[in-house]
Amino acid sequence: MKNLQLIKSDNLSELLELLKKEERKYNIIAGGTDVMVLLKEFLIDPQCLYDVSGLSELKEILVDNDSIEIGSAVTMSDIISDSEVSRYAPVLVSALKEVGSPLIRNRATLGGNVGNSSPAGDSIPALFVLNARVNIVSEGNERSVKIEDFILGPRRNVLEKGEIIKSFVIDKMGTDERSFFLKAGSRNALAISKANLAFRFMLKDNLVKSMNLSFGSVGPVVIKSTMIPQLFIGKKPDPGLIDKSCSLVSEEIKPIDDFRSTAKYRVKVLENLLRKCLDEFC
Amino acid sequence: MSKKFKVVKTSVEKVDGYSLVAGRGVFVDDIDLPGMLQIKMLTSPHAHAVIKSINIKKAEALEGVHTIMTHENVPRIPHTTAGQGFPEPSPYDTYTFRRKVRFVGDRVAAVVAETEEIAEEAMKLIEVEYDVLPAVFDPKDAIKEGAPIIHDEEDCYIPIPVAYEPERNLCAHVDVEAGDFDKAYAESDVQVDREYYSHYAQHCPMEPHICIGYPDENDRLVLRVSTQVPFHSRRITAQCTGIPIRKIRVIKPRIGGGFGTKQEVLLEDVVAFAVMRTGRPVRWALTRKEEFISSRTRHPQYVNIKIGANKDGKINAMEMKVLSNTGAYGSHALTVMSNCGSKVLPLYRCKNIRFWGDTAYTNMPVAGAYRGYGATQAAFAMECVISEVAQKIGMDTVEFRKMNHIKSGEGSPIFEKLGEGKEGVPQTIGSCGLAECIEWGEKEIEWGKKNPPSEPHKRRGKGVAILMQGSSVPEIDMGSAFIKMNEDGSFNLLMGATDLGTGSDTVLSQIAAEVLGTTEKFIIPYSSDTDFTPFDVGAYASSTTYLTGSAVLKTAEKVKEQIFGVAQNMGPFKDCSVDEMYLEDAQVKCKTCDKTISFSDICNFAMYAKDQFQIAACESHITHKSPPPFTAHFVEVEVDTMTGKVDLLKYVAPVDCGTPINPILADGQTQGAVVNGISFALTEEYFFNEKGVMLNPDFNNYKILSTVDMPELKTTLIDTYEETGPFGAKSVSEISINGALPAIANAIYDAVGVRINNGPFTPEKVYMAMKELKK
Ligand SMILES: Cc1cc2nc3c(=O)[nH]c(=O)nc-3n(C[C@H](O)[C@H](O)[C@H](O)COP(=O)(O)OP(=O)(O)OC[C@H]3O[C@@H](n4cnc5c(N)ncnc54)[C@H](O)[C@@H]3O)c2cc1C
Repeated sequence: MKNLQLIKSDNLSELLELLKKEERKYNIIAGGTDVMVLLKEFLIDPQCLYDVSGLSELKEILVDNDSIEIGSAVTMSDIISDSEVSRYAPVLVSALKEVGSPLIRNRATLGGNVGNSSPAGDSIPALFVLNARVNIVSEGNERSVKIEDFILGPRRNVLEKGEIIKSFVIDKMGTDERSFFLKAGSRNALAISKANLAFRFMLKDNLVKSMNLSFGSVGPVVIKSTMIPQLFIGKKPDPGLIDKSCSLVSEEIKPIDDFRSTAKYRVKVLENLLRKCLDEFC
Repeated sequence: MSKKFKVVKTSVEKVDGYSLVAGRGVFVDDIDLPGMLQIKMLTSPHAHAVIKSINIKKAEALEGVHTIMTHENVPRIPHTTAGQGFPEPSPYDTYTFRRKVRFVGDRVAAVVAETEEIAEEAMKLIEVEYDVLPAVFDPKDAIKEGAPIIHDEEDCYIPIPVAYEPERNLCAHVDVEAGDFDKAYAESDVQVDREYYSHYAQHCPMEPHICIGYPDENDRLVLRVSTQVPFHSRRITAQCTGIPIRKIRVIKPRIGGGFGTKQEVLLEDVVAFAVMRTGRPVRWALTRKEEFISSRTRHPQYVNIKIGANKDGKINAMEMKVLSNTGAYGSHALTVMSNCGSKVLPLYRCKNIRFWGDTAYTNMPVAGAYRGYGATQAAFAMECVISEVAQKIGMDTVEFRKMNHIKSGEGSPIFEKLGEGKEGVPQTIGSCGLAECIEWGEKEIEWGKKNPPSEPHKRRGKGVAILMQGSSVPEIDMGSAFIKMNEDGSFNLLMGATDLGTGSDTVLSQIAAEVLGTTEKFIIPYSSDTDFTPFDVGAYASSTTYLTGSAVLKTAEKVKEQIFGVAQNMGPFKDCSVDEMYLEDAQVKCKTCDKTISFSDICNFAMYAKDQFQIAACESHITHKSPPPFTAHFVEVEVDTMTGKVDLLKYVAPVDCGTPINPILADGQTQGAVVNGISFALTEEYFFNEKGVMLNPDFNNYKILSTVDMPELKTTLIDTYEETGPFGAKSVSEISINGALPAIANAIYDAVGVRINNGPFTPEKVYMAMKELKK
């Protein structure tokens, strides 16, 4: 492998300053579980790497009255074992438990999963249904964008030169809300999703009060369902509605054929995964 | 049946176990020689093309590049890479470098440079102009008239008298018949006729192929090779390079697995040329990607089975038609295909049998030996069809097997008709624990009991497959051993047999210790080095324990006689007859008097006292039979009807391998083979684009099973005694890879009613089969 400079700092403002001045081709690296693979396959070709995994500002989990802020460099293992996240955002924890293997989860970060912006990133559908906002920082600047606006396409996002993800702010789910994360893969460990979905809803007096639904691995980006929640909100779920909603899946997603799976299969499986969720709540 | 042993049939510690876990085992790559150069191979981006021109000037000029080899500057010598007995039953269709490339990944030019990085840079500077030819990928298309001819060169040939018609891409053909198949099939009450396809797979040994070569102080060429076949490696290297055998020494150090892919001489010719040209040590190691693309694979095969049976459950007629895809070169092309018949058809009692096998050349990766060796592919088809026949008759699929499977004392016309490149050897089954295997497995899996699924949208099912393999190639393979005695009563055991992680050094030491009345701790095994160890064909065909084990046993017997002879010359045993002497606790003892002499005294006497000589012997062994081990695999699956995912809940594999010389190692072979088989059945798969390029040459995208994917696995060793084997042993290493495809397919059928006739059983495939989807 050629020479590659690794720049690591434990001070956020110092790192942002260096980043702003950087004139060479660079990549941010956190856990490196995507970056190392991309390097090896020559899909990226940076001259230097900026390591954010040592920044304590990026490694905190803060719980507020109605939201949780998770630092971008918190590892998946740490998120999974955090009792408050488990309590208030169980759908994120279920999604992260599906990622890779214990070894991968010990290194992989939430910032990396979103930063990689793959349609198969397992955390992303969960962040969608939790109405996540992405906090972005750069030297002297901060901004915040909705998760669905953050990702532009496969491995493309809104980050500009000098910017890094600082944290994610997600909804705290109420005790009367329920959620699921379901994934179809080929084996139990280290399987990239063929299709997945995150689902969050609340029933009140037998009527659907709220519903968030998103699909992963079935289009160039994670897809937020609009038609299906619309169909249910304010209504009492019944088998007729469920059938109808399942038939809408193929209109909302745009899967492709690749060697992991066929488009046809992905549609069918998502319909089935959705039916499984919906059957649970009526 | 069972006999009493002291060292054999106990799970002694693996002799190299400690050094391996301590990281002290020395593998090929664990040496670093001063001035060692590195090789990188430029390979073909086209599936089929002629090299119009190749310009290496710029690349040669790069600093750090020592030499570049191409078809223009390396002798063209037809040979096979298959490490088989000589003359090999594989065509001589390979040249160190060739003007025509025949698959994506075929050799074009080897760069020898100071570092791998420089070699890679140089590779980019080589200018190659190709005349791209039409390519053919499916064996069915390859043997059609008008298909592109892959081996149109004039100098390729097969060194034994068998069918070989490269002019129509037919690399091998065999057909044999016993009785009258057509008549018997037509007259049968029930007929089933099905085609199955078994797919590409790679062996995935932890250690990829590697070879380090260097000139020694006498200008002999030393090759350290990760090989299963050091003697074939030496012979084929000599053949390709013109270096006389006496000038080549092949060393096999510790090996990180082979599973058949190292029964190939894949790197040695190029390394040898590189050493000759540079006079420097040279290393060539394949990357995982190269291992997938350019080394060897399992032969993908279409297997068509026809079975005719009577309503009462008797099998009247069986036909197996195999179309095997050997890829661009014909390594093991004939024998893997023949083995489909010879290791699968004899399992069922039947008078009217026909076997028809073709092997086609295609522009695909090159297939070779892979654990199971054809039996894996054929057993998939056979065991699924057997279950279908039973169901058609209305019999339980296990009962049907019990009724028809071969038993001790019975033979099969196939044994006699189908050999390795010639007729086979007639044989009747000696030891056979198949009935016991079935009984044990049935109990363990609770055959006939349908369990409720864990969730409402899931379905459970159970499946079975019964199997046999062989133990070595009769009248062809030879193994030998050399034992000498040391003053402390220990023995050096030198073998050409190659331990590649299998544990054969341990097993063979146990056999020697048993004969010599000592423990394995007093045996110092060494394998293998063509300068020091006697010839052995190598580790393949499930032969080492059975074949080399017998050679070790014979050698130890000879040493024992010499020890008795020495004892008789020593004071205390003057009046004892040899017939009354025996060896125990590292001493010579006598049945009638209670005198003893220690081994140490024996050896010191022989070496230093009188009529001095080295107590030592060397014996060889060939076999006249290839006694099959047997097994019955049972599996319970749960199929998710929403996703098509198949979960294995329990897998049961009792094996009859005769006497297990080391039960834990034998069981380890079974467990490893079962997992290997499950992985092949569920996830392993090559993906190609329309140009013949493999798309997933890495473990990220080529999925092998991991620990968390393991089902509950129950194995056991069924006790039998094979009279022709060393202390009753036969083979164990290959057989259990053959069960997963058919047993799981049968279980999927039991669960959801679909018969899947090609692997792997991915969620998509199972799901789509379940719901014939309209697009
Ligand atoms: C064997 C294996 C199995 C895997 N299985 C799964 C799986 O099941 N599901 C799944 O979703 N993923 C999987 N992955 C992918 C990967 O582990 C995840 O995407 C992980 O979350 C990446 O995190 P990381 O910290 O390692 O990121 P890195 O590799 O360090 O970075 C990934 C990307 O994010 C960017 N980035 C990282 N941190 C920041 C930041 N703070 N600000 C801006 N950009 C940033 C990097 O520049 C890079 O583009 C797997 C990977 C491997 C190697």
